[in-house]
Amino acid sequence: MSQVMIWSDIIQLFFKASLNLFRFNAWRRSEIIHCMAQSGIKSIPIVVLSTAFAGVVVTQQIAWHMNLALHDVSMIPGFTGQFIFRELGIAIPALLLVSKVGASIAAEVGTMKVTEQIDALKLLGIDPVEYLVFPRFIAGILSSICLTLLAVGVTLGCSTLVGVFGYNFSLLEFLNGMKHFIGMIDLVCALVKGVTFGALIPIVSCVYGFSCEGGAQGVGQATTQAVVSATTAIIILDFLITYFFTWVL
Amino acid sequence: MKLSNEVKVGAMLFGTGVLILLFAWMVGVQNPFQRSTSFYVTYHFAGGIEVGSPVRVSGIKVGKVEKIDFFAPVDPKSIATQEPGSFELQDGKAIIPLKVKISVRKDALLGVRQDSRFYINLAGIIGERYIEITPGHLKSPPVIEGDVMAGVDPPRVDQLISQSFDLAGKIKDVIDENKGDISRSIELLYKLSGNLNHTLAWVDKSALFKSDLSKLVDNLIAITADVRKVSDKVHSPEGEKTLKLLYQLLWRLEPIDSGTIKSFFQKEGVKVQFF
Repeated sequence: MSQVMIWSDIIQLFFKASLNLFRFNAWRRSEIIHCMAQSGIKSIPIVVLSTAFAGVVVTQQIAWHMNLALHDVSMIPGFTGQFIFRELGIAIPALLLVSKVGASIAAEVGTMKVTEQIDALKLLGIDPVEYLVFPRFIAGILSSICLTLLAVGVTLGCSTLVGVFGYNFSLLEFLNGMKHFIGMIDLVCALVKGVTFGALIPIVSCVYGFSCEGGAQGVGQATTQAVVSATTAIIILDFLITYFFTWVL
Repeated sequence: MKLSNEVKVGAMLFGTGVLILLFAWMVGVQNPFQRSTSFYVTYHFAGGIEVGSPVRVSGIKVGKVEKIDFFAPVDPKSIATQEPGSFELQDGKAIIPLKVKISVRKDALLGVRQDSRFYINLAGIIGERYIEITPGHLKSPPVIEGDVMAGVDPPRVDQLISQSFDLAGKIKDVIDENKGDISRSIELLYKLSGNLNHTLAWVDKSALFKSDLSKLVDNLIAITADVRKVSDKVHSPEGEKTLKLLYQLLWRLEPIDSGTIKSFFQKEGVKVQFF
């Protein structure tokens, strides 16, 4: 039941934060840039490192399976390209953002809650959603788009390197092979997923932060729950968006 | 040097813009500076072509499928090349099951003429479908923007399979209906081959056939060799000349009958009596 309440709060907070999109005063440039630097810039190293290795592993695995089943590795570029564009390059940065940025937001907001700073904001007549959630919401969306595209680029780059140095493809041959399989719909799918996950992570984290009770233990629990819930939500939404783009469109 | 957050975020957004452009190129978004011409190709059956499928001229990718319309009415006069059954007339308009809009690069369009053929082909081991345009004659008028051309429908494998099933069923029916006749024929054939075997064995053993037959075969070989020589000579210039002379001789002898010969001898003072 409490989970139902939490998800109801998440949906409500999403709408409240979205409403601020149309309020000029809510767009505090410096705060949004600060949040983007925290959530986006500082996540670049871990995203690049993780997706680079993921690209290498996936290409090796696809090549191994193709060689085993078809005795032919000519289709590696197409299969890896599509897999990276549709799943790998998007899911990995999203999950990394959950564990890094989501946990940080939940802990930050949770600490503000247990130290009654949020109550103080309300007392001063400041809307916590506009002041705390909206900048993180916008920063989350923009950072997620940037990191998703960066992750896709890095993964494709590493996959290409494996193809060129490991399986004797020429660079143009590999890129042309990818081009045959990747379409505009894949790019749109990647961007839609990036926006969705980028919006989801700060909202879920803030809801758990706002619902935090007790002292340091409560903050810890809220952080853990925020990460678990956001991860689960990302996987489910990933399935739904993929299903929509694959079978409906 | 410590960069401010604004610079870092600005750089990240700029990098994202560059990546979007790079990916847009990768996914094949048409270059806005590239000039291309669009025209239509009609089909009854397109065999898996979809929007975005490549278009090739002489095997080189030069465009893509832009749009597919179903049962589009077009002016029959606008269809330059007509495949049999490629459209049906209804109220003066041609109703075409599939009208595919394709765009082709301007430089490649030089080879696309009114007599070009538009095939649907299969490429690669996964069977990617594409439209192959064979270049037309340079004397033929070029294809221009908005032209409607008739494509060549690809063979329908599903139809072939179903037809072969039908054929197999009919063959089975014929066999079932004539089971007795067929088995009797097989029995007769079996007996015939048995008899033939006996005969051949007797021929093998027979001294008469051994001696006379070998002579006969030798003579036949000699005759065929002679015939071959004669036929070779006939084909030579001398042989042809001889044949020509023979033909002329026969042509001249052809009107000679008993009356002509009689009058000839009478002129010479000889009395002859024919029969």
